[in-house]
Amino acid sequence: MTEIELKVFLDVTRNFFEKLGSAPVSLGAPSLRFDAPPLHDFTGLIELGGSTAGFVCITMPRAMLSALLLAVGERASGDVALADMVGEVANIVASNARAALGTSIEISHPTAIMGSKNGPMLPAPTFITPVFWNEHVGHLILALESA
Amino acid sequence: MNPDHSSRSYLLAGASALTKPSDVFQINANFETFAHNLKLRTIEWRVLFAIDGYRTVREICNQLYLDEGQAREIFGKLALLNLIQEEEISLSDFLQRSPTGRVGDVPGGPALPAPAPLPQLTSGRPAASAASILMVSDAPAPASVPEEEVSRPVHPEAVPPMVASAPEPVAAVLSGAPLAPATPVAEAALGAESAPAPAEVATSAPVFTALVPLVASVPSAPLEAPETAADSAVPSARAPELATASAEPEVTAAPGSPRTSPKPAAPAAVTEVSVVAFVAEAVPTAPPPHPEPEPVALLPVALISEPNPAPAAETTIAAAAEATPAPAAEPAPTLAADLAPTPEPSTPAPAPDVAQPAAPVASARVSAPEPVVSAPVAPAVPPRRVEPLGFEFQTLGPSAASITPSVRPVERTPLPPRPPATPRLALPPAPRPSWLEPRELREVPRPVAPMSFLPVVTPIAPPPLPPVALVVAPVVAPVVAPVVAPVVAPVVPAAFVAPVVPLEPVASAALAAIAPVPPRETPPLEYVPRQPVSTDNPPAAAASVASVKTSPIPILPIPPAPPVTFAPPSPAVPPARSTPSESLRPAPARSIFGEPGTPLPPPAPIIIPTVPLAPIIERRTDPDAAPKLPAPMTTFVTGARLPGLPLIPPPVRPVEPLALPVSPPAPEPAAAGSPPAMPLMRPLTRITAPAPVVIAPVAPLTFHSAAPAPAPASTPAPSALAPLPAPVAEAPTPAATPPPPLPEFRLGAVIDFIMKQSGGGTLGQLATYRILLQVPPELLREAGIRSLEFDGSSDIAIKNVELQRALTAAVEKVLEVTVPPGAFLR
Repeated sequence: MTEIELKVFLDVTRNFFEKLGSAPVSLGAPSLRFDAPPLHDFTGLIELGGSTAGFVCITMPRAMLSALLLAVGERASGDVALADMVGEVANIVASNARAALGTSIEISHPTAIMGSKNGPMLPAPTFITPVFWNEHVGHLILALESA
Repeated sequence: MNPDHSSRSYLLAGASALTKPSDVFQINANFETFAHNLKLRTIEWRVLFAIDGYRTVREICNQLYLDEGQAREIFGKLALLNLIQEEEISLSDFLQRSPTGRVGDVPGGPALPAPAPLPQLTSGRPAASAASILMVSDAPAPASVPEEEVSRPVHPEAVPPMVASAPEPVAAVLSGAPLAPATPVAEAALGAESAPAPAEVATSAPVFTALVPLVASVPSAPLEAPETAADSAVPSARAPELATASAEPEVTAAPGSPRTSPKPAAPAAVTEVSVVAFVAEAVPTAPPPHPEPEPVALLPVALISEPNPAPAAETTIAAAAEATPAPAAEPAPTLAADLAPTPEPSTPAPAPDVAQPAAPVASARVSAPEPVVSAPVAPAVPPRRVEPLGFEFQTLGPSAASITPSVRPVERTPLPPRPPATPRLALPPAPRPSWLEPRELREVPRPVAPMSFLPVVTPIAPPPLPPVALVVAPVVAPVVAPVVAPVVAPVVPAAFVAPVVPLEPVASAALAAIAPVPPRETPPLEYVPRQPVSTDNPPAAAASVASVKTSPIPILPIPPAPPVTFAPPSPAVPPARSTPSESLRPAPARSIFGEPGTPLPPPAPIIIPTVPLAPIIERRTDPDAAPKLPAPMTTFVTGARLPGLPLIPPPVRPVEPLALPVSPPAPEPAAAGSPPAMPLMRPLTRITAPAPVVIAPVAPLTFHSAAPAPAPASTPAPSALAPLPAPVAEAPTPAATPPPPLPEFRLGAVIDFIMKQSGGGTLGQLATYRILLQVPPELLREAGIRSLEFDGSSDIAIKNVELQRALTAAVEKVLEVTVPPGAFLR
């Protein structure tokens, strides 16, 4: 997977927040981490397979997810709704990335992870890109095994 | 329905006046609609049922012995009530109504002299099949037939034109009953079975098919007919249809005449409508005016619709007619006699004064020998639908009670007798399996090896229990054993007393008995679907999250070392059973005395390798690549190693030749956290070509000529006690320039190189990510690299040559460029 293909994930994430239209979105300076990346309250995890194996995570704090729910018209703000929302975001990002990358990439169903203390064992290093939206900061994590 | 009495007389008079003896009436088609509401006199009912649309008024009067006045009155009344009418009919209708009987069909008809033998219409078939009167041929009449009889004049009204042109026999056949008595169809069909019939009566004895059955002529003795369930049914609307649709008139019988078979003039596809009637033989209350045959009442009961019968049925009729020739002397050859179910047709009719159950009369297709009167019953005839005909016969006279009809409206084919049930073979009782038998608790003695000095307590219960050694001193064993054994036996069945001996050989044997632990195979790692995990339970969440790519490996519990008391191996002691499954189980020897005889050596060392609790990340796509996380193997060493278990080599890292720079290496920065230990069993991969040796330029040494002695390269440390050398004044040496710092392998330089090559920006960052993916993360962590920022804050010196080589190789591989020497040095 080349840089251009990896960039698809960033573009898709940005487009998702841009489509909400409620607030501008921007991607911050990325970073590479060689240990366990920090996670927020909720994390949507999607495993990639095929030619490129790894994970795509979107981790967001509770407030950001609540704002997202309000942006999409959801009134519920419980943990289940938040977990569903973060999983939905991850699914959308991964699905759009697959649509852009073709069938060479395989995408699993999203998995919502609640909590920031115990994150998944992601392969290092991870490419972490902060997502600034509506005064909230989330992170897009690319944890690929090889690229 | 009855008209008013005031106007009745006039109307009746008029109607009676209009009645002519030659009129032929027929019953109104709508008769059934108001038949049940009719109130008629008995004689009127008889006249009504005598009307068949074929016979003239005169004939009916003659049949019923009515004088002219009565006839006019009755016929006029019936006509006034619109019960009968005279209308013109077609030839086919006429032929259908043609009389099937002969002259003598009408009981009580005038006794006319027997006519001369009629010309016979011979059939091409034998007499048995001649009943199919359609097969009438125009063969020449026998010579015995008088010619004058053949040429007798026929009824001028009844001769159809088409028949008139035909040959006489044929014309006689087709002309039907109204013709001269010389041409009765049935008689011609039956050949020799001819009977004398007056010309006048010959045309007056048909049966009005099924609707108007034959009613016995009992003028002064009203015939009593019972009302059966079928009789009292609703009137059938099929009666008018029956008159026209029934192509086969009823069998009629005349005294002294054989039965005749009807001549179906209608097409063969006409549905046969059978009539089940009851023939009741009643006793007239008053003697008839004439010696007449036994009155017979044919009471229609029901209609049985059935499919068109096969032509063979007619043959049956003919055969029956032949088989049951009515004897001339039979006093009452009634329908009941003809169609009696009795197998013997020659049975004389019962006495008139004896009420006899009448035999049900069926259609013309019923063969007489059949015990059951019904329509021609085919073996596979479907169940027929019984419809009430709708005729009710009122109780006529006091003799009604004497009439006992036999109600058999529908013939049911009797089912074949059920064969007797085959007796079942009495099977002998199956032997009861042995496992069902109650068990007997038997005490199975166990073979016990004889002991030399102690009796062996025989185990009582079959399940084996671990032997318990009663450890005693060898000296006291002979004494203690007899005393202890009976006491211990109920408690510990498998106890035995053994003297204590030195334990070294015992321990060796015990260790030898323990089978080596086979190496376990790591279960294959599988992908486990993930579920949302809550952090409320961190261990569970961690395990669930870890299951994304890992599979937990079960950990064998380490059993606590039980106190073991070893007994010396003795030939008297039964050898200990050692099964593979029990090899790891320590011998549960116990001492009932609470203290061992001798101090026991330390427990046998057992090494049970376990796996770490941390999951292992599986690399599915690149199996050759080293896993990201180390998988340390924890060992629990309790003593000596078991034979066969591979030894775990100590963590030895490969010693690689390092090209040390001339300059002393800079001290590594103190890491905030010590890097994790290297995996013990993990080989280091991705060792690329040795890194180029960078030799820093060494400053040349300068020597001063004024110096008495050349200064050593390495000036020894001045001793604090030694005097300082005096400075040389006349030859001042120039000041030595400090050596420039040696360039270092900087991570920032690598990133800059990558960003420059990949165009910078996000693509450069992603290219950096791709490159660092190629570098073993362990090396990065060893180098203290925890994260990498692209803002230049992560510029650190990389001292690890292996890491340097890895970075260089990754850059060259990902960017597909050749890194020039010194490109990452600063």
